[in-house]
Amino acid sequence: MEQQKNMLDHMKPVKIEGLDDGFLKDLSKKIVSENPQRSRSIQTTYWKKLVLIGFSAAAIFVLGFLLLNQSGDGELTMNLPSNLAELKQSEIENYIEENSRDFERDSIVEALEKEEVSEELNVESGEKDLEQLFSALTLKEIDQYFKAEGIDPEDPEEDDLLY
Amino acid sequence: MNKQPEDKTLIQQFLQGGRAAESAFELFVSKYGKSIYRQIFRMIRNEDQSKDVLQNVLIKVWLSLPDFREDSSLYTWVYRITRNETLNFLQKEKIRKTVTIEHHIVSIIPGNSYLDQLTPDTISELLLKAIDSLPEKQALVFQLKYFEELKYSEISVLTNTTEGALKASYHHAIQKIEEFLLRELNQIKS
Repeated sequence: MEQQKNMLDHMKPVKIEGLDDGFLKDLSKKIVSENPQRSRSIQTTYWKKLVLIGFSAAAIFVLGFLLLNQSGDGELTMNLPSNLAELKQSEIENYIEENSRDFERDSIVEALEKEEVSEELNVESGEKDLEQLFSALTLKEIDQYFKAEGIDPEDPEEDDLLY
Repeated sequence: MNKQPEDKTLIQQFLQGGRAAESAFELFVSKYGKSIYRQIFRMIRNEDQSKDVLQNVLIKVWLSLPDFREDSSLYTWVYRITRNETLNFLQKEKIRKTVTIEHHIVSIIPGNSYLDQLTPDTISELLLKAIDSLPEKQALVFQLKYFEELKYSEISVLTNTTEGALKASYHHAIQKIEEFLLRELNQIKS
């Protein structure tokens, strides 16, 4: 049984006649000259093409997405909840602070005209004469409006509203 | 082999393309050409045909090196190419029956009742079959250790594998080869 084991110990690798260096040198030169290799620049061009195609596809996708999300009146809609979620509380407060002062008086007048004044005073929406609108209001009504809206007429910061 | 450039340097030089790549390839052939040839020769055992296969292997290496991803060591990658190319060659030549075995790869040291009854050619054939049945890594380690007589430290550099893992691979390879040979020899005897 001992003889059956370790059979590899009873084998001796035969030394293989090596190739001479000249043969290998000639062979490598022959291979290089007969088989032009894809150069790195060709590979780079290939990758550049791939990247370009990728970017083009992405651009088309984004453009298509925007067009599909366009509302009927031609304005682009935005996903407000997700955009707002990205804003910090301080940024929102700053935005409100800055933009509330830039609020145009026309917007107030327009709102008054459409919603409140037209209903309460039964003024036709077509009649937009500011003089007429305000002359129809009593001072008491104006004071009540300021109180209801929390506007202090004495506050210099409210000048824009009071024109 | 120690005076040769490191594989990483060769690969970097090769990837530069142009003359640098050609120079790197020549260095690669100078470093590994003989080892690749011996690997082929052990499987084919015919000088001219081994040289033909060597040329095919080197062409494949030259053309495929830009795609080499360094998932394995350069030598392991080349070993795989060499093995596949040689097996493909043998498969084709077997059909044509043109393989002329001129050499054997092992000689017998008398004293084993099983082996003493066989010719070196038969034993060479059995040993090749046994190596062929091994997983790739074990076959590679066995060839480098048993035939090339490299130290574990040298194989470790070539294969990017720890010496401990190499010793384990070699041990498993020896066990499997012994079992394979014993099984085959018992069949021959009966």
